[in-house]
Amino acid sequence: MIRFILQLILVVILSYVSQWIFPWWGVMVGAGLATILIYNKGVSSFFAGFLGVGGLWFVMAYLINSANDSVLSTRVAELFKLSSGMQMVLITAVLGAILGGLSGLTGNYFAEMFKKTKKSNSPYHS
Amino acid sequence: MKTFRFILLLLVTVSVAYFLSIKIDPVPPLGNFVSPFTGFWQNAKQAQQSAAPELNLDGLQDKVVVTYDKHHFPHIFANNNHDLYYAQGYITAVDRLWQMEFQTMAAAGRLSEIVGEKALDYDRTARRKGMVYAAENTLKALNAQKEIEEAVNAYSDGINAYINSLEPGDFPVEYKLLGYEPEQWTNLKVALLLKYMANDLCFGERDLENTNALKLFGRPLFDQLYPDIDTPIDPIVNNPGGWTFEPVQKPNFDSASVVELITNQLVPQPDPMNGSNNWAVSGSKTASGNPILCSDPHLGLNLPSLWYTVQLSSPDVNVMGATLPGSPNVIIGFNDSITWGVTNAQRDLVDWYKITFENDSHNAYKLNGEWMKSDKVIEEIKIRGEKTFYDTVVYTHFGPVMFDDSFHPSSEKKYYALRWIAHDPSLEAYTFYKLNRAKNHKEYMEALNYYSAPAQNFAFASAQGDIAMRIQGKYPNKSFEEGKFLLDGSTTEHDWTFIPNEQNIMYKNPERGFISSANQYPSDTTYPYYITARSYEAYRNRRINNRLREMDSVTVADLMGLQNDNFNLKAQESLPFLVSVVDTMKLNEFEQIALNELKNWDYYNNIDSKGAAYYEDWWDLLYPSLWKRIDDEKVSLVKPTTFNTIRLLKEHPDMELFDVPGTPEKENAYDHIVLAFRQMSEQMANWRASHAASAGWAEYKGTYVKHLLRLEPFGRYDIPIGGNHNIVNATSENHGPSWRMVVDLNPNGVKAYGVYPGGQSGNPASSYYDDMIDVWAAGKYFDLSLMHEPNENPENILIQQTLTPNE
Repeated sequence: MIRFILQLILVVILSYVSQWIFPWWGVMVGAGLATILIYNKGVSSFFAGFLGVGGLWFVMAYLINSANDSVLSTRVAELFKLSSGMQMVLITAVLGAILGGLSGLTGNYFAEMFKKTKKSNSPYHS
Repeated sequence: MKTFRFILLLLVTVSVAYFLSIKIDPVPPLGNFVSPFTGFWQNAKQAQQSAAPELNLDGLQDKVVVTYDKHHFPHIFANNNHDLYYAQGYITAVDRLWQMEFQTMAAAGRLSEIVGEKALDYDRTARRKGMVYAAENTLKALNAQKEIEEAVNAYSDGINAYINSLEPGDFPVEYKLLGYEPEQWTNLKVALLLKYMANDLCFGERDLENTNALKLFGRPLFDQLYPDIDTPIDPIVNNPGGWTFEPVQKPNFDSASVVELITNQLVPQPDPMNGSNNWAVSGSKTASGNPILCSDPHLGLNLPSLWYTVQLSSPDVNVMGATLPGSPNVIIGFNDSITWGVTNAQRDLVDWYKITFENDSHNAYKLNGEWMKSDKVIEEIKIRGEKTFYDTVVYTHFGPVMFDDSFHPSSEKKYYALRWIAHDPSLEAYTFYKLNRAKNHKEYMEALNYYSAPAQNFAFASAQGDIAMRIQGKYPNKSFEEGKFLLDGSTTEHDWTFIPNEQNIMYKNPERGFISSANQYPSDTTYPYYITARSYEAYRNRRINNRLREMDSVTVADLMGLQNDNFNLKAQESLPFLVSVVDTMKLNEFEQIALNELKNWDYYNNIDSKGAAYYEDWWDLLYPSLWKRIDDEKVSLVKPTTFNTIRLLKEHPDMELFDVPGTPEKENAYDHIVLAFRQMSEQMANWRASHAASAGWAEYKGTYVKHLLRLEPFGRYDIPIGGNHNIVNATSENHGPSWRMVVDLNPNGVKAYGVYPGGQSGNPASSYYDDMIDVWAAGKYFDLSLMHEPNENPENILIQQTLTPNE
């Protein structure tokens, strides 16, 4: 559990930092890198990415949206044939979560290639 | 196994990222678009941030202070002209970058680059019209005038300073929606923006439609349908017998020289409703004794708005008013000494010449009995997601050949070259540069001497007490009917020569105490040059002049009232006749209601007026019904004007054209009036049934201001405002006063008021995106306060920004 929380925190930090360098998909690099640096089970890695990026995008979108009184998000929602700006916040969060989850799992699979088989007594294998 | 598993998942992840990176019409590149780091959320964030108090910019020479007042109007204070125009470019780009670039891309025929193949015909039309050729010619002219060249350079540098400071997340939201990025701004784009305006204002004509009509209808009917002057003469400049100069003579012209049917699909015309009002009242007629000037240009209503309010101040100039994002200077405005406003001058500034090519190679064409070599320009049109399209445009002595075998072809292999005033080098930017600095009538005249296109009616007033009007442009000198039809392009006989500038229509301080223009016929009929145009206004001008003639001790509030005047002169002149046709008929319940509403109507198209809705619906059904045979012809024609239609209805109800083919009876105008009345009564009954009992004209009309990309949620709909075309408050559905300005030239400090249907910010997240629309609709104005130093009126200041040169 602690490892999962560490992974989650690192996903958030690296996703955020990656945006200083990369285009919008920087968060995917960040999430993937995080699950390589902190190894964990596939399922955990997926959810670390899923919750990390999804949560990051949710919080950012939510805060920006509140400050803007949903002015732009409502207009954009209507473009997408939706009705409320909050739906755009949720779409943002879900999309971020999927991207983060996929990236987290990809990072994990990458790390797995360099692991010994299950029988190995690696202390890092939980 | 693990390697394989990883590669498979990596492929999936990368594919997902890839699909979210591309634009699958109409969905934007979704990954970037929704990312809170780079997407539209960043635009929402920008809208909440106020301008940084300090900014360091490369290329500035000295410190510039920008004071934003509470309406978000920037007042730019610079220590030299270079920095002034640099800051104008920078500040305008901060608010309007996407629109500035988009409009110049449209002018250059480059929309396919952004939106794909659907814009190809639009782009080819722009290229074949010679828009880029025209802009290049104008740029050369601008570069030959040092002051304006430097201003344009500085303006472009300012825009680029802003563009270069942007991260992708900072791009205006439209870039993110369409999935592209801003490119470097160039001086050519300034020229393209000017040609974008010229295209909107002086491409209107009907030479080819006239030729078709003359061929189809013959001379007597043609003259009845399309007389040169079909409006009551209440001209802009009424000076009978006062034209004392010696006009330049021209040989007579035989209009029948090339009468043939032009079967090509013609290129779109600018909106025929493009027009405007302006007037100035002399101090002798105002309560304060100061001259007052009013100006409201009528154009398509878009967001972001065409106009942007700015004050420009340097040791050399202090001017405020409406600017066009993409061009330096104030276009309609005022300084301490003078004020000016423009309306479109109705004049045929386009001619078409029939070209005979030697053979299908189009390498040579007949001119004065010889084969002249043609020039070919290959236009490269990039298309998003497709192969680049190469369009070969043939240029002749006259100009580009618009239609050929690959573009709107005719089956008979006929070719027509375009001569258009906008092709000529023009210095309108220099005129505005000088007008911004003008202090009196003499300097206004000097500034206008440089002005060639698009031809405008320049209303003027000065604090010294002068008022003046000058219908300025470079006008081809035509013999009677020369250029009204297709011209013979095998000879240079019809090459353009021009009316000398000083013989243009103008006057100063007329006895009646006011000057005005509203796109009507420009002069009394003693003006010695032949004038023709696509159409003239017949109603707004008379209403304005009637009101100004009868008003006295005029105040600013009176003239604001006149700008918002909803009186429908057209209805006053046509409705009693229309009603008399249906009055004695047997009517059903709905028809009786309609008749009563119309009889009880006061001819005002006010917001809550019901009669206006009945009348306008009736007219909108009647007009196309009357001219259906003209619309049904296989070649392009124009319908007679509203004024002439009403005249023909009354005077010639039995015209052959009113008969509907395929019916045993012979229909006349009355049959159309009755039929349209019955249809209208039914439509209005349905409309009334589905709307609140209080709903009136404004709700029926449903005025809207649309986003340039027609994105509905980015526009404003159902705006409560009265008026219509042919009414002084010329607000129709999506067209109307795009800027309203009233300037009181108080010698102790000018008082000015302005508003436009939009807002200063182009960011749809900003509260300044559309905040002026309701004010505009209510007929109210914001103060345009011409400041003399950056800290004047502290209570009026929203924020202040200092731009400093980078060390």
